[in-house]
Amino acid sequence: MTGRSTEDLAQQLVRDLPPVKPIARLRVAGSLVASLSVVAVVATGWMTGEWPRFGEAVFWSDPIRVAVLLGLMIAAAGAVVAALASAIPGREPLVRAGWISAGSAAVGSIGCGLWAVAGGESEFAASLLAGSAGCFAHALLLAIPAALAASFYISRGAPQHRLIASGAAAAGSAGLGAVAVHATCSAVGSFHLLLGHCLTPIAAGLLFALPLAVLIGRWSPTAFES
Amino acid sequence: MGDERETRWRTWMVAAQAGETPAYEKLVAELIPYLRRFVQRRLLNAAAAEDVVQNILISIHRARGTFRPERRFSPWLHTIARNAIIDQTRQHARRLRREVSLEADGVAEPSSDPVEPLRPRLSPELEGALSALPDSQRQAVELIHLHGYSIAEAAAQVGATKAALKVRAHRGYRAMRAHIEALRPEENGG
Repeated sequence: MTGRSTEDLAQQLVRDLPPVKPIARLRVAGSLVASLSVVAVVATGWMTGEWPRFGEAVFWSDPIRVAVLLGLMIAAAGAVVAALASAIPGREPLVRAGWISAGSAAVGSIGCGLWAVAGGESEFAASLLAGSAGCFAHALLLAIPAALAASFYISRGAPQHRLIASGAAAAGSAGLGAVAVHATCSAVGSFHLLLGHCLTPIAAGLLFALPLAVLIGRWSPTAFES
Repeated sequence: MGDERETRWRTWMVAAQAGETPAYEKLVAELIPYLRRFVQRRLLNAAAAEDVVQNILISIHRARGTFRPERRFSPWLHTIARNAIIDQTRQHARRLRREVSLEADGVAEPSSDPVEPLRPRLSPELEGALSALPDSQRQAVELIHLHGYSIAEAAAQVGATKAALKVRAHRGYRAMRAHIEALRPEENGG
């Protein structure tokens, strides 16, 4: 390094010791992210009049739709847990569990979407893509507060791989948005289900990992300089 | 890690988070020999072990806010230490690749030292170009291009901003190229 001894460095570190507040508990951060998603859904519902259709029997009558809802919920929760836990050294088992559950649920959810597509509804791809883009964009808008909160939490921590953590934050937040969109959307097309709902977390994770990583870098406290 | 030591280190870290210097001093003093053993057991490149221990101490210092008082200290410490070892291993591999690349270009001589050198041995003309640089530029080039440090790490070492260090390294690199090109007129058609 610089040629100084480890003991000299230790003395320098000891002299530079401003008090720090321990990072918030994971469950507190997770609850905040989830709450912000709910707030975003309520605010959007209040502005547009579109509310989750959990009270409608028809929503629960389609097993594929219910399976996709469950898959998205688990994928979103898993990705958010992986993102937040990656900010804290020593929480790797939780990060792994988050990734495994998010990955399996995303694959399951996409599998359900593909199954629905294979089930054969005749739809026009162009109109489907247009509708899917709307749902995708809607989910992303709903994801913004949660993504920002998760990124801020990660910036306070010490992630080993910032890009992976930010990808998980993007995927998890978009997953929460997709849950709300899925619960609100009345479109029945299977392609739409796949493109507009099931693939949202993965697409958002890939698209927004880099911008969020930059944001996390900017928000990170100044590094110790020796 | 023994329960008694675990409790002691956790208590000291919690006190350090509150800014209590004596507790932090005791913690660091006990951590240094522990980390030396930890790193030496895991690192093939023994020459770099002390650097890794220093990196771990800096990481612990920077990340001390991520330790939660109700959690165990050892998993937190070991993760930071392992990550530093992984970083060092990657950096070492990058440096070796660069050495091989320099040798293939005919500008560096292969090292014959039994212990890994801190930076690749350069050809006389590269050494000449490097030594002709102003101190600040030479330091930047050495840290980034020869030692394999990231911009952030190198900037932290010399106490400069990342942008300033990038500029110094870039100017140094350009000046070195000009120096070498001036020594090789026949290759440049001049």
